[in-house]
Parts: sequence; structure tokens; C-alpha cells
Amino acid sequence: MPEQSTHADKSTSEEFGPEASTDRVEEYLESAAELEPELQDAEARAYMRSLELRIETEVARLRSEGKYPPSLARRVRTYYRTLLPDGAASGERDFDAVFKTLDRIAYMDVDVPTASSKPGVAFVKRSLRTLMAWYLNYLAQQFNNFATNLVHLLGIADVRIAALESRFDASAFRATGLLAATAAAKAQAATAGRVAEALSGTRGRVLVAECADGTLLAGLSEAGLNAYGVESRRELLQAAEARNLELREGGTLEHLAGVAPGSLAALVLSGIVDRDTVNDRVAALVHARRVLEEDAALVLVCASADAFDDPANRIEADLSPGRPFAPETWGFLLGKLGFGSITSEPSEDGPYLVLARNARMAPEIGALADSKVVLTALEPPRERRR
Amino acid sequence: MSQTPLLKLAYVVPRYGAEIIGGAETATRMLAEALVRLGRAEVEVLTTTALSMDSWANHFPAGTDTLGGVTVRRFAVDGERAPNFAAATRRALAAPAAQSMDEAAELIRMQGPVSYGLLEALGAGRYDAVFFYPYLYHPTVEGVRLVNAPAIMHPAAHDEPVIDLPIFKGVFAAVSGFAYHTAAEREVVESRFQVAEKPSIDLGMGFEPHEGLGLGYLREMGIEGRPFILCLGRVDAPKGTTLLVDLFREYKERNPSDLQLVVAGPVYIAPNPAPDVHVVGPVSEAAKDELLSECSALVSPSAFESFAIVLLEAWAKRKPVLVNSICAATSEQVQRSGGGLRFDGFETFEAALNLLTRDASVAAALGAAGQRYALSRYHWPDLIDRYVAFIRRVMAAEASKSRLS
Repeated sequence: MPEQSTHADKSTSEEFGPEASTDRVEEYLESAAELEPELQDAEARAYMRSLELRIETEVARLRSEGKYPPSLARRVRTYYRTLLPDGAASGERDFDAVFKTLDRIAYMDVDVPTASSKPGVAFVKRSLRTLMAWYLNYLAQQFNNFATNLVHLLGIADVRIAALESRFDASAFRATGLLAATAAAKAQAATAGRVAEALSGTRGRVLVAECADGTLLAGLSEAGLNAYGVESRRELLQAAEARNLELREGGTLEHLAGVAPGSLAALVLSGIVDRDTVNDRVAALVHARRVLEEDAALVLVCASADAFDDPANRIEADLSPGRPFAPETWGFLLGKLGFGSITSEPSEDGPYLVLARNARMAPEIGALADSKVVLTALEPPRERRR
Repeated sequence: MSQTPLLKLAYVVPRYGAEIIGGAETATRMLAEALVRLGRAEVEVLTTTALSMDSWANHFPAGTDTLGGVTVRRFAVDGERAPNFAAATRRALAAPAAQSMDEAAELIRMQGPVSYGLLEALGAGRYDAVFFYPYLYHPTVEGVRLVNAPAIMHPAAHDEPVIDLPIFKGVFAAVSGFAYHTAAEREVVESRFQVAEKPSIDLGMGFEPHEGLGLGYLREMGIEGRPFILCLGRVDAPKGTTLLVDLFREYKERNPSDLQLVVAGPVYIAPNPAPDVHVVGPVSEAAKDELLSECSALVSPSAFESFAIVLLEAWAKRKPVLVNSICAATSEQVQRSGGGLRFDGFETFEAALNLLTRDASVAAALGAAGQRYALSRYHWPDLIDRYVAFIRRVMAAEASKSRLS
């Protein structure tokens, strides 16, 4: 990577202050243009973030100096009401957005508008407002007190939940792309031919998740399968894009949740089966039961159980929340979930395949796919009911 | 050497014409004309004779016409917007998911336009693929199941209550592929409808950079000689123009300067008059180019967009943009490009506007980032290459499905 001070650095220095000369800007733009496109994008985004930070700082400063009078806040609330219904009513799902909307509307305004185009009516309205003020103010004070505390409480709860999520998000490192070179990628390369053979003649949609750099997916596409891949790590996705493959950017579980029941003719799972939490692995299998057609093939491309002892995989082993399973463990889980024709095929250099066929889907599997507590899927239905 | 045969494609859109300025309608026309211009497809548009989306009243003559190399087949409107549609919408959208299928179907019919001639022609047509743009209207809701070719939808969806009407589940399920404007739009669709396995593309929209300097339009509009920020598109409260004018009035009271706001586009709901605000109505392409060339920044105040071509047009001229952070699509465009800033209330609007209009280096750097982003991803030839490859992939998948059945 060429040495280059970041755009963000420059923005916070005097060089990019209000008095920056046009020459300086042109010089910056020329130097930025020499970077690789991806680096240019990263620079631009970093610069934008630095500006947003400047805006936040400025707003905080003005707020602390009392430069935003309450009357302004009230007017702005009115302006926003012309544009947006309440967050929840608009179908908004983003917590921050709904919280902001709630914060904006959790206020009862007793300053009732009194304007009227009819003669005398405005006077009557003003009089009524004055007469009712003692009563309305009393009610509004109680409501505003309650609403303010409620919003405050939600804010505290949000901070606590965010802290919990941060502490217990076992997949965080996978999401950051830190684990780009994985045992799974090696397993895919070692088993690509065998997977293509196992799925040959498959008619219908085939998903490879995670597809890494696309080696295995390319093999399936070349064999004439209607296959596509899912990958969350940007750098691997770019490598796969260069092979002209059908790809989606995103996580395996998130993608599977959006797939229609019984719509896949085959599913190849890789990566998630080696290093994610047990819960996530079982969730993937539960999704597989739901999204695969009856008798469709499930292929697990697995690193060997001792792959994480290999010094080449030391960093991945240390940072991953899970460890590769032995074939017997997969056999146990797949059997419990109702898959049939379960076989495993070890290869000479470690990685192995687990092949299974989807049985007719039981109704409770479809319901469980949405559940966080996927381990209950492993209990027999009768026990669960009890 | 044998050449790949031209694709024969059809687009279904509620209204169509050069006079029509609207997200989905303009986008359809741009895509259709680019496919023809670049010699990649023969394109037919199946549409109604309506011009106004408020009434869907018959306006254009029914029949076949050619516009920009595209064959346009217009069919009479049999069902205009029902007079009680607004009241029915308010009732239904209080709990959209709780509506029955019949109630939802009735609401879509009341919304209009209903054209049985269009639906009949759609069933009889022979095309390689048929595109529906956007998801919301009767021709799409009824048409997706009638076609004899792969149905590809450009949903133009955003997070709005109406998308939760139960009728759309079947509509989205019946489609063979999806062309999304942004990843945010994909998320809106895939989080509601289980269609993630279907072929799809995050396409966006192409644009053609134009020159537009010194043509005299600014003088005609009375805005020459003073800096201005620009808002382009439909002038309507739901599009955020009323909010923008209100915020700008507050801004000018607190930050006296000679800065102006120019709002250009067809006026549906005029904002309240305010000093230094010019609502200039619809403008020609040439006038739009000059406005974009001369503005300090472009503002997109809308909370409900699935893509904003105007951002690309501003970036093409190295202009920074300011968008409403509530809008996932424009927010994503800005975040990916680094070509602008976002506001989520008056405070951030004020601070961002100060930064954009008082610091030339900030505006220049953001504008340059936006320009690079727009030119590298949304230049027509590259975008159409990606689009055609996607169309052929959907066709191949459908052909393989047919062989199987």
C-alpha cells in the first residue's frame, strides 16, 4: 500500500481550514487521483466521516452554549411533521431512527394555534386558550414529565443493550473481514472438484455461502449449474467479482433468512461451519431445512477438526468463536434435524465434505428458522411442547 | 462471426413521456433509451394514456408512438384514481399488514391507473423479458402473473407503510428477478419478502454529463450574481421541499448572508414563501445543467427515495450534496461516495450548510469524491453492460426452470 496521509488527517489540520488555498485543494485532488480506486473510495469516506465529526462537535458546542432556543426546537418539530409520520407508523425498523422520532414527538404542546380566516374566531380561540391554560398546562406538565423520563429510560436501555451486544458479539471479527485468509478457503479449493461432482445434474438454484474468492462457485457455474454465492468480506468478494460470477454481499444467516422456503435445489455451506458459534451453525442448518427442496442436497465443506492446530491458521483459531467439528458431530446434528442420507467424505489433506439430503419439511422447522433459540430445534417436538 | 441477437424487451410503467418528471418514470425512460442508443435491445414500453399521477385521467392519445428510439404503446385508462382514495389509504395504512387480500386489492384498484387493454396486450406480447417499474401500481400488481417471459421488477421500494399490504407478497414472489437501485432498497425488499434467492442486481441509474454554463437562465430566473443551493425534483411536501424551505428560512434568520435557495421542478404542493427562496417550477434540461453548474451544493431533503439521479448529476459537475439522513437510499449513496453530508434536524442542517458554503476546500473535496464515484459506477455504457448480463442471467435461469418443469 503506498504511503499516504489520510484525507481525514488533512481535514482536521489547518491545511483544510476555511483559509485553505485553491492550489492546496487541487494538489490534494491530484494526489488522491493517483491512488487505487478502492483506496480513493476509502479516503473519501474517511474524509466525509471527519466532516460529520466536525458537524457533531459544532452542534454540541452550540447546544452547550444555549444557542438553540426551545422555540426553535418546537418549530423544527412542526416542520418535520409535514414530512414524516411517526417512525413506528411509517414502518421504520431502525432503532436509532425510531428513537430520534420518539424523542422529537414526546412533547405535548399546549400553545394551540389560534389563527383563523373567519372574523372574530381567532379572538375566541385566543380567549379559550387563555381560559384553559391552567388546566392544559397541568395535564401537559404531567405528560411531558412522563414522556421525558420514558425516552430517557429507553436511552439508558439502548446504551446497556449496545454494551451487551458489543461484549457478546462472537462473530464480530468475521464481520470485520480480519479473517480473510481462512481454513475454509483452503477447504473449498481442496474439495471444489468433488463438490461439483456431487452436485452434477442438479437442476434449480444452488447457493454457495460463504463463497470466499469464488473458486468453488466458479467450478459449479462452469459445470452448468444455476449457482450464486454470498460473501460478506469485501476483499474476497472483489476477487470473486473478477470471475464474472453471480454474487451477493452479505452474511450467510442474514441471506438465508431472506430465501423463500423450498426454493433451493442445493446448498453448499462453508466457513460458518468451521468457526462460528454452535448456535449460528445450528441456525444455518435449520435454515437449510427450510430453504431446500425436498430431497435436495446439503453440502458442508469443512476444515478438518485439527485444522486450527496448524500454525498457518493460528490467528483464525485464536480469533474465532468456534472450532471445526468432527464429521461425527455433523452427523449427529443433521440427524437430529431430520436430514437423511448423511455421509462424510474425508480428503487426504484434511478438509472433508458432509453430504445430506433434505427430508420433507416439518412445520415446526419453518417456525424455528426465525427463532433466536435455535438449539430447541434439536429437541424432539413432544419434549418441546411439555 | 455471428452476433448476439438483440434482446426484445418490454417495460410496464403507469405513465410515460418526455413531459413526465418522476423517479420511476424518468428512470424507465432513461434505461429504455440507453438500451436502444447503445444497440443492446429493441424496447417497447407498455403504458397508459395518463399524464397526471393525481388523477390518472386520460391525456395522451391511445396507440403506438416512438420516443427516443423506443416504441411506446399507450392504452386507455379504465380506472382513474378513486375520489375516496386518500381517505381509504389513511384507514388502510394505519395497519397495512392487517388488511385482507381483498381490501388490499381494492386499495390498489382505487389508487389507479387500471388499464385492461394494457394487461391484455401484456398477456399477448412476445418478449425476451418484461420489466415492471415500480412495484406499487395496478399494472405491476396484476401484470406480473400475465407475462409469457421472465418478469423482472425494478421495485423502486422504500420503507413505507404501503409495502406491508399483504397483496405484495404474491407479487414479489411471482417475479423472476430484481433490479435494485441501492443495497438499502434490496434490504427493504428482502427483509419483508423471501426473495433473496432470485437473481438480482444493485444497478443504480446511469447518467450523461452535460456542459451547462453561461446560457443565461440564471439571469432569467433572477438569481444571477449571488450564491445559491439547489433542490431539484418534484416540489411536494412528501418530497421534503416544504421542510427544506422552513429549515432554510430558520437558517437565514440565524446566519444572515446573500445565500439563496433555488427549488426547481414541477410544483405539486408549494412551500411557504420565504426570503431568498426561489421556487422556479419545471426547468428545461439546459436550464437544469446551468443551475447544477453554478450552484454551491445540491440538497435532497426527501425522506422517501429509492435512488436519486440528481445526486449523480450534481456529482458529475463536482458539486457536493446534502441529503436527509432519514432516507436510507440517498444516505447510502453519500456514504459510499464520500461526496456529501447528511442532516437529521435543524442543527446538523445548519452546521453542514455552513461547512459546504463557507469552506471552498470542503465543497471541492466532496465534489471531487462524488464525481469520481459517479463516473466510475454510473456511466451509461458500463451500467448497461452490467444490466444486459443480468437480464441474460435471469433469462437463462428461467429457461432452465422451464426445461425442468
